[in-house]
Amino acid sequence: MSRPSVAVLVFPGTNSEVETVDACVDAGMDARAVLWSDPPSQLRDYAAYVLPGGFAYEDRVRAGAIAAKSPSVAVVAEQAAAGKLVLGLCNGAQIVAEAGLIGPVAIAHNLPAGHFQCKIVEVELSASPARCPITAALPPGARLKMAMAHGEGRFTGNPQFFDGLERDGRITFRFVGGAPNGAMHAAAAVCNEGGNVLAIMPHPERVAWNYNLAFEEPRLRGMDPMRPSTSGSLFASLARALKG
Amino acid sequence: MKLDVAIEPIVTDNTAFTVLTALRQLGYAELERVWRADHLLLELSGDGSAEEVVARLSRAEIVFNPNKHRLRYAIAGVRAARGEMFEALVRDRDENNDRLVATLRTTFGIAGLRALERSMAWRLDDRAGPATMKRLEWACQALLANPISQTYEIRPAPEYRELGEPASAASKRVR
Repeated sequence: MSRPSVAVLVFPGTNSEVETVDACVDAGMDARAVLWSDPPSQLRDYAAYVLPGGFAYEDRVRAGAIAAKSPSVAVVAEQAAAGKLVLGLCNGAQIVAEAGLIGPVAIAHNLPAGHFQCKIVEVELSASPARCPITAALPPGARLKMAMAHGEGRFTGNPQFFDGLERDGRITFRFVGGAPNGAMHAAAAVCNEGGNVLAIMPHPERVAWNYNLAFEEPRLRGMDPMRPSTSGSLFASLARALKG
Repeated sequence: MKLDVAIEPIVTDNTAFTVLTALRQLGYAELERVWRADHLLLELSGDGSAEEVVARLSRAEIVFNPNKHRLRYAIAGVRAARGEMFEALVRDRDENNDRLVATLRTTFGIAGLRALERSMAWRLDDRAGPATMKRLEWACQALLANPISQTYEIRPAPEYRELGEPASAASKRVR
């Protein structure tokens, strides 16, 4: 079976594209970094899009605000409307939210912390796996270790709208033990109504292999360091969704 | 008394330049200049002069860095003398400044400080001069404010001045 093509979008200030491409390639996808300066129209040739973490345009104005207005993201929005899969990771999630791809949801400054927070967190699949094709191959209630590293990661919006997100199964992942960043409903990830766009704040790609987590989980030290970790399974699930 | 305080970069403002480029690309082709400042609105009890409060704030150096910023102020509600110039203030809906107020009050001696609001202040100039209120409104909706997590207000621009600078000098100075 051919490897599905995935574009990993890179903006000035993106800093996680290498590990994102690696995580996608290891999961069986043909992932390539596509620069902001490449012709946006070529993005239409890809089967799916991953917007990686970092500080696109130095987070000027607000995290993700400038990249969200870029011609590349306009093409991603157009392709998302046609049903293609889009995965935003941390700064990529902020770009996805600023572009309006997950509806009236904002990702704002961490509260009450009020500062950048960096730690390994555990998130739980809080919706039915099939609600979002990107998570469809994960077991119900799957718990994944991810690397939280953001100062603006608090999912927020109208409380009634968030109640609706809860009812519709659009709060895809939730922080186990409460959201350190103060996100409404302890949301770590939110998908769009169609389920084909998923915005995740903690980084799965930074802890996609056992060696990334061995300092955190001593039991992993005797295991194959290059074996995919729990969050590596998210990329495997994305690959499976693309392969049908 | 309410006091408007603007903390402006005196080094190159990369964010303002990025906004200039982005707003042009979004259709405001005649835009020529973007000005930006961290804005504080201080609510003070009656005693103590504005100059005294600004002097204490300058010495505190926790809201600005004198190597990178200039601190200017205006008595809130006093309108700019120079024509129709507007300023947009963009504020986070969930902003909580209680800790900052407590620190300024107790550690830095601004005893009369009752409340503080933080915003980002924006002014735009195009080929015809200062941007109209309608243009600023458009810029806020297009880029400067996120309607879900932020609010914005567009108001006549105050005449900020530096500590020790007479109001008349501030009104003559080209910003």
